[in-house]
Amino acid sequence: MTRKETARWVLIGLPTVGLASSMVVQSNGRASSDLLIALQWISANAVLFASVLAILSFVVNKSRFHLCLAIILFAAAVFEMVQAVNLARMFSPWVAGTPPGTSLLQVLNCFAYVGVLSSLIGQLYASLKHAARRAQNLFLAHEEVQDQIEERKWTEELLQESRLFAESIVESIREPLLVMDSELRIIRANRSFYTTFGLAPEKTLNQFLGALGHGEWNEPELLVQLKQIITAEGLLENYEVTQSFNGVGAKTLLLSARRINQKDVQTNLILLAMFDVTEQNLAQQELARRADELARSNAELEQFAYIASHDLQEPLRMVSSYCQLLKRRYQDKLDADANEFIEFAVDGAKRMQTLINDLLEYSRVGTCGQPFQPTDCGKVVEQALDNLRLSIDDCEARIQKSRMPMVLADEIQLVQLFQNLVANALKFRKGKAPDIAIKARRKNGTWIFSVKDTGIGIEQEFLQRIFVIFQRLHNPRNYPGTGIGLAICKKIVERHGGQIWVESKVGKGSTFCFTLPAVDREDINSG
Amino acid sequence: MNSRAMDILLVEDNQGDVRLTREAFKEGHVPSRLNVVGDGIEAITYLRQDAPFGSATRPDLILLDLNLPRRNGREVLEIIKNDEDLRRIPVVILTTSKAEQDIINSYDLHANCYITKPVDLEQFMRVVRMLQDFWFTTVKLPQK
Repeated sequence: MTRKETARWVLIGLPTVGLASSMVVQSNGRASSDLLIALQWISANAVLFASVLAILSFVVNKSRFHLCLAIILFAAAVFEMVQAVNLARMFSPWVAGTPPGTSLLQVLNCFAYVGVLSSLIGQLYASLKHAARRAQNLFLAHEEVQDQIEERKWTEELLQESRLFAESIVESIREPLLVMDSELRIIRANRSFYTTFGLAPEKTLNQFLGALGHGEWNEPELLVQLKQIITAEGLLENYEVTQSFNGVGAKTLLLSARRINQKDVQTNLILLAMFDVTEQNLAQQELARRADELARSNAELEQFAYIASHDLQEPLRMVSSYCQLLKRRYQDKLDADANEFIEFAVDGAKRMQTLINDLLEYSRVGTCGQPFQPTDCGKVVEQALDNLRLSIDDCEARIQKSRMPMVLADEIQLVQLFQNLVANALKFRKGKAPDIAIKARRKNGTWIFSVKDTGIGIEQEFLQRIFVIFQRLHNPRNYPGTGIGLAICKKIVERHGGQIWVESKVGKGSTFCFTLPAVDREDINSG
Repeated sequence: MNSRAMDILLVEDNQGDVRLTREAFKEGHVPSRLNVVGDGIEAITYLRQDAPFGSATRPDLILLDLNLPRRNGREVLEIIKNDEDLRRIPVVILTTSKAEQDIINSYDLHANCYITKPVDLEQFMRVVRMLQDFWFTTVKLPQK
């Protein structure tokens, strides 16, 4: 028997003993003292209180034991009350003296009931404590559930919010988008898709991609590749499709597709994005066509200039040579007029020759240019000045130069460019010892080079025209030349991606400026 | 100086140039025979002494224009310089072209020298005289 069971038997036993001993006292019918009456009242009250507690315990614990206990205790309480009333009536007025045997039983009886009462109090306290703890646990558990519900609600709200956010992006995006399941059935399409392909949602959603519209998407290669995205870890990028869409016309699309991995759902989805490059392609084709045309017409022009100048040389040589031969052989037999005519013919042929040579040189800027290399402009200027050494010394020109940068250029042409500009500065000088300054300064992404002279200058109205081929401003007797130099300069600068211009004041001098793209040291090293 | 007259083959289609060259050689002081053919195929036929040039003499020097009908000067030069027998004959390119590419190509094909015909008659005469002097008095040529 466990301790708990023993305690229960004791608890049942004690009131039974109390009840029995009271019955014995009652049946004796002996007189008792006031102490006896007091004990009887204590017993009666204790057992009554105990019975109330037993009922309470029954209510709290719902145990059959406590019900039995309560019934016994209640019976005992009623009995004790009756006995107490009897005793009180018997000993009124109060008599002293107590039969010893009875009083011992009475004391035992009282102790039994007090014991039961205290035990019940203890039990009830424990039960109540237990119940309270249970109630508290229940309350805490309830609170926890409440928290979980709150949290879930919050998460769902967040989820909803981000879903709305994603959907609004999908809807507002300019590119048509499709979301498909693994069988390539359309699950979602954005507004752009519907408007671009003129399809209604009811004819799109839940349809197989290949069956959309008039079967424009039914391209086996594409469908296979899209399916592979689901099975293999595929990714479709920039897959070009050119297709004529019913009611929309021909379109060139760049397709990109990727798998959308879904955690809770078994099947994954495919997001297919379309970039309409129709216009872009057309524009590019047009651009390429024009570039081709331009390149061809340029090449033809260069070829024309080259061939023309070559083929023109031959007859010209004949004219000039035979005129000279005529003069050489028949000078004595002809009069002064005839000799003068021959002179004019020869002179014309020679000038024509020079023009053709210049034209040839001009056309060579485009056809015979070298690839651009890192070029030290300091060396280039030195070379140009060396080539002009005789003329420079001849007119005692003073030349001043600043530090020159490195650029990417055709060195030979750059030498020619500086040489032509400096030669012009020498040629169009005012009297002896002209001052010429060659400078370079950086402005943002370009170098601005300048060749400044103190020469005769150029009138404002001619500033633009001087770069046109064969444009001359002076009589060839004073300033010989064909007017090709600056045209060649312009062509060289433009071939290098720069610009050329002149600032000038008549009688004060001119400054010829041109730009070349600046390059950084790394470009020079790698280039 | 060689005592015998030198044989020169001029390959030139322009009659004006042919005449000018003839005049220039006439003014020169080295006796020379100028034979003229008008296109590339004729030049090769002449050099190989095929009909109708069966009795042609092997030239001491060839003056070759680049722009010729039928087979141009470059092809003729290539054939000559790839021919075991003919490649010893010096070939002077005499042309109006100043193009760098023509100059490079000619020397790549083993031309012996390249001359751009001067426009000026005096200069042309001088060039021909210099050619005569150089190839017929200065240079040692192989025996025929």
